[in-house]
Amino acid sequence: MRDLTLIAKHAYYLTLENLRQPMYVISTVVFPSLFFWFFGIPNAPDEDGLAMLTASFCAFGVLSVVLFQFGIGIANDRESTWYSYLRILPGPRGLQMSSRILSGFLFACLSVAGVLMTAKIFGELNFQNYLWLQFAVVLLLGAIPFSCLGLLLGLLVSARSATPVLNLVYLTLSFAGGLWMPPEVLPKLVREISTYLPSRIYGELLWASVLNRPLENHEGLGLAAYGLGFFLILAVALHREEDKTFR
Amino acid sequence: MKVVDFQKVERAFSKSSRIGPLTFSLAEKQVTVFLGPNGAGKTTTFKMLLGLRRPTAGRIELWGEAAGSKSVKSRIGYTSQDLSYPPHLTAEEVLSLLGTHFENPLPLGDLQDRFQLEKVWKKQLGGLSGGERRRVGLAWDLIGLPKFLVLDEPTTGLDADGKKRLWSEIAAFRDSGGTVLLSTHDISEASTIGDRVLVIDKGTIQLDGSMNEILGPLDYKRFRYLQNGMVKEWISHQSDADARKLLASGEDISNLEIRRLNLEEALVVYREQR
Repeated sequence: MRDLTLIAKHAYYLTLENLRQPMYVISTVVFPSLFFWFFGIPNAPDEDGLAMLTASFCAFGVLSVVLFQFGIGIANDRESTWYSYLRILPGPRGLQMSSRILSGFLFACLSVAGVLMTAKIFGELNFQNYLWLQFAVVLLLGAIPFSCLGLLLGLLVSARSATPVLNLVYLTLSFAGGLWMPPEVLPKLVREISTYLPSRIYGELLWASVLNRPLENHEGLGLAAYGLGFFLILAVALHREEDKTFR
Repeated sequence: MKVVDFQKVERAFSKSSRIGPLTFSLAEKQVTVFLGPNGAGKTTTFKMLLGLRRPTAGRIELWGEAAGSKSVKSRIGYTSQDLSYPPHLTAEEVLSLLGTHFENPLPLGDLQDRFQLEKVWKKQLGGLSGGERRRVGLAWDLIGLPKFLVLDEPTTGLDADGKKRLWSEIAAFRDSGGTVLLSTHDISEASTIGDRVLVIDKGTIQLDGSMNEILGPLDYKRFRYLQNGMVKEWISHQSDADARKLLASGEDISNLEIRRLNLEEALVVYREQR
């Protein structure tokens, strides 16, 4: 119980720190909604299309949080003596990472809430026609592989290179995964590659869930395989990092 | 009672780079100064003591338990010369957060008064001066009511007043039964506060004893002056007698300077003369 209190308190202060950095809030919470308002809503062909794009931009918001907060955050933590300092205090192992994940979840909720509000206010989406609870479950579970990817990249890159590397991964996955525009309108080569990307599979699962289309088994398995792969590499990277830094 | 016990502790970085073997113990109610030039192995020794690095050989115990155990962690207060602070949190928030790690932390109000943190209490740490941050750092060293303080170059960034306050806090902590290990590369700092000095150089303990026992062997002074248009320079281990002799010699000397060697210089001379 005491450990959970510690994780919650660290997550609270981490959230507070991030909220005090306007650029972080803009890029993770405001930007997905703004982007959706400017480029998503005007291009929605009908209400189903708008629901799909809402789902896409929610995923875009979640990706921004899990990649930036986990990736850049962990890369910065590794080079900070504050991180070493926390290790010598009595507390659970993995305190920093757990609190970062919890804080990331809160920011992801804020980002998604922003997109949904934009859909309601500017797109006049009728929420009652779609399955948002099912969508929320898929959105949450589907975020796990990307969270592992964010944490993994945070362990692999330096603080200085984290921002460009994470931006590159984020923008590539979002664009080529069809989260900004329907995959059918992507250039041919990108369209072909797109089907193998985890972000495209994530998108397919989200679109199916919100429109209540049957979920394809192979898509669920594909994303699970990505998740497992990222998780295993993350476990190895974490072990190596511990070895390098603390042994 | 032994608070810290290092037994033949070694840490190898590569075939040619290592520190140790280090064997020493620290007792209660004692301020021990770990004196050594930059790169001597002070910080690595501290990291092993705190459980952040594992020794490649030997044994480290604190109160008879392994370094890094939960019970040991709750009895240590630590600050580092290059500790980075969360820049967007206030002093109050950081101290509140750190207090959560301990069973019975000191009340925040007490810390605020004791370390005169009123002005910085609601300010984000990123906007504080080095000295102000050090004061906050000292408050967080003591928040968990530690029995043992480990201070790595604690005077970095402190002005004269700050140093005075630090020395008085350390003395009060020792008098209340606490043990202190602090590192510095400044001989004069060591003589201000230490009951005992461990001199480390090239990864091994070179000298271990009371302040007088240690500072005597390292008390070298450099004489420099002009004589017949030529610069003369030499090092003395008995500067008072040599100065008297020089002045009584009747030689035509000018621009006389007598300067105490800093630790790095003194250790080189000490090694050469041994």
